[in-house]
Amino acid sequence: MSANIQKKKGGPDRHPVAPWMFLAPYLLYAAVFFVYPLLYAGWLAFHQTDGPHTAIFVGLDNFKFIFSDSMFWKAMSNTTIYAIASICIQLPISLGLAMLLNNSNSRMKGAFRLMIFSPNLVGQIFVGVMFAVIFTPHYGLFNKGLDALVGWGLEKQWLADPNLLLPALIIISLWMYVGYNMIYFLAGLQSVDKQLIEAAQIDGASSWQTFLHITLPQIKPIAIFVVIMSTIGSYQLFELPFALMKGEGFGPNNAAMTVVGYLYEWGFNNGDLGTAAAIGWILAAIIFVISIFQLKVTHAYDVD
Amino acid sequence: MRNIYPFGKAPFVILIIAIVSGIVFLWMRLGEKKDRPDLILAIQAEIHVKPYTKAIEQFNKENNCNIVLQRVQKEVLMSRLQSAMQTGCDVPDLVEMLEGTIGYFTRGPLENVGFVDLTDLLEKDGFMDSTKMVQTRYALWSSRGHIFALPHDVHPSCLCYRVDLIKELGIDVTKLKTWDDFVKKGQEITIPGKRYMIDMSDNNMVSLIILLTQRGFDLFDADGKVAFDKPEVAELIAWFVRQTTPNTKTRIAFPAGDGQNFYQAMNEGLDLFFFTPDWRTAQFMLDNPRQKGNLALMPMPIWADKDGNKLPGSYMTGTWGGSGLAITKHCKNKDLAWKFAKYLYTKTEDLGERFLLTNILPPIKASWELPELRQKSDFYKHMFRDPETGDLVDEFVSIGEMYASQADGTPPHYITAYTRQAETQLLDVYYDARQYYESNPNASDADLLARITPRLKTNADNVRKMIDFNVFLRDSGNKTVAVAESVEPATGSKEQ
Repeated sequence: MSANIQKKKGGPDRHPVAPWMFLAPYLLYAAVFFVYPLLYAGWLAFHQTDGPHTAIFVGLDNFKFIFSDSMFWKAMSNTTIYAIASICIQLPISLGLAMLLNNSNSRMKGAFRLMIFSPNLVGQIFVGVMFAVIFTPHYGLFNKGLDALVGWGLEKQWLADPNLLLPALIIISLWMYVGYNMIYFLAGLQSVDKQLIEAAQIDGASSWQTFLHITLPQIKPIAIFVVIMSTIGSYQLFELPFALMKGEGFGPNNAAMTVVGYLYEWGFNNGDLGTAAAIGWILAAIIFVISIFQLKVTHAYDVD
Repeated sequence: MRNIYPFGKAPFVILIIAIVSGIVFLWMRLGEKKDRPDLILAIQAEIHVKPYTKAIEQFNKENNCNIVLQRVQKEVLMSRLQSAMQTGCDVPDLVEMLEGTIGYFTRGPLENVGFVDLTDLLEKDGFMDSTKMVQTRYALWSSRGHIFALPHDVHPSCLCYRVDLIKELGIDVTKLKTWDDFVKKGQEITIPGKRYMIDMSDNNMVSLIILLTQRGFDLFDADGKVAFDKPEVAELIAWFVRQTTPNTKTRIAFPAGDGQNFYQAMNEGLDLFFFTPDWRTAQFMLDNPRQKGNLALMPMPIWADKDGNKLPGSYMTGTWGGSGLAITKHCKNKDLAWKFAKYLYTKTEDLGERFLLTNILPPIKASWELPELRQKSDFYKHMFRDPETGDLVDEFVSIGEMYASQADGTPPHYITAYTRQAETQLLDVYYDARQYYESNPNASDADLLARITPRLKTNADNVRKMIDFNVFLRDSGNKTVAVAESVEPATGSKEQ
């Protein structure tokens, strides 16, 4: 027995390599799938390539080209509008629905929650394909619904009109993600101290004042998380417009072109992995800067 | 136990699992290599599976070899091929490519193109003879004067329509000889929201390319230079804008879309005419059998001057789609692959039977005389004036004859690494003009052209800028296609 204890005590000293052995699989995985691609992408960004065996060093030319390409700015503008819409339209609706469900005593609460959340269970590709049919002029469900409700819109070409395509994307994303964000807000609302709300109400605070001064500050960490995740998700938008346009470009006038779509076009349609890698780095930088900005603006690092 | 493996039971089990799975994986990989067939052919079109399977069985028997067919979905085929070529593993020996896909592989130096250059083989075996093969089809598969695939088809386009509706509306299709005739009739019968003359897609390039190539123009010229900023292209865009812009008096076209919506538009008579290359006739037969005996085919109207004479340089028809068989450089037995490619695509005796399954007209001209291509369809009709009574009558038509009559007038469609970008830039001009016309429905041709021409130039320059940015093309002189000589369009059309 004592010999065993002695052995165990001496274990780590006798096998200093052991912890590294246990870490080795992850380290290997991270090295192969994260570190190497990251370094390689950095190298690629300064080259033009044609397959893995041909690369020509072009210095900053890839970056210069991207910043001078009107398509990049179109993609940036589309993505930014989509991101702003996600935050300014989607999140308030999510919060509103969460508050409704949180305050409701209905026995159907669970069913509503599932109903609103369920679109998120469907993959973006499937949603894209489905909405390509729903938005069809004359026969599509959406146009028929509009026509039946307001007597307008039967022939609207949502996917063929450059002015309507981005709104169509925003409508789809509302359908998909409102429920997803609602779940976060609901979790936040359920953790709000009810005693504080009751106290405020006794003191004569209106519903709006209660929401603004009690509820909102208490769900702030969750709200910040949701805003940042929505922003990052918006800047990574790709599958939805890609599937919506059936993989044949990004719509009329590139109205559905996103930054990741632009990256895809360069990497997989033009076959220039160098320029695609440069776009990837630019995208990473944009997301980093926006996230830091949001954290600063919302005082997320402030200690209460 | 501890003496053998000091870190405990669980890590020991994990180690054993890792070793066993590693051995199994290696064993499977070694087994795969041993069993690899002589050739692997990868295709995407489901309709080709049946005829190709039969041809492969026959070829295997005759040549005592083992060729295997793999059917892969379109997008997956291309992404797998791209990855496989980049990494050099599991590359099929032969690939049936789709129109437009060759561009990805030809953006770099010629020696980097992952396919075997077939130019000399085609020359040696007589396939560069215009009496034997439709030469314009090489444009789809060429780069810098080198051909990388054997064309499978011609895909001239006709117009398809419903006989009952055309009779009911009293449309005399024999008088729709030119696009001017067609548009005039279209404006008479179009009722916005209820009935349109023709299905024209306005969110992709399909209809525009058919019309543009029929007019004798393209996104790129035979040398691979950007060619869509010509005055005639601007005129064509203006014409297309007039036919497709919503809420205007000139509109005669409605985009029927695809799938169920398309067939609903056809069955409800929302659109009367449909661009129909040969391959689409088989699709209609399969997907819309209720129109059996009620659909008819006619040649496309031509681009003509005011006197009805065909415009110089224009073609009898346009083209939509195409496949070609390429041999990858990874193929170990290139002689066998070329022999098989010729067997599959050019063995005349088999092409008749295959035509009956696919309705696709082969580019091998000798096959056009086969009885299978001459036999009358029991699905499609054509309408014509009875020579004796002068009445407009209809009868079943031979699909093969109908398309063969157009095939020599099929224009080339040049594909480069920048075709997609060029399409995007051209569509941008179209949408801009369409918005302008929707806001200014009284705009004259001159107004529309004033809007279109400068934007077309700017957008063409955008594509030129992209090409200039490609150091590989810059170094190799940027000559993309020079093989497919434009065949002078046929002057006459078959009587309807």
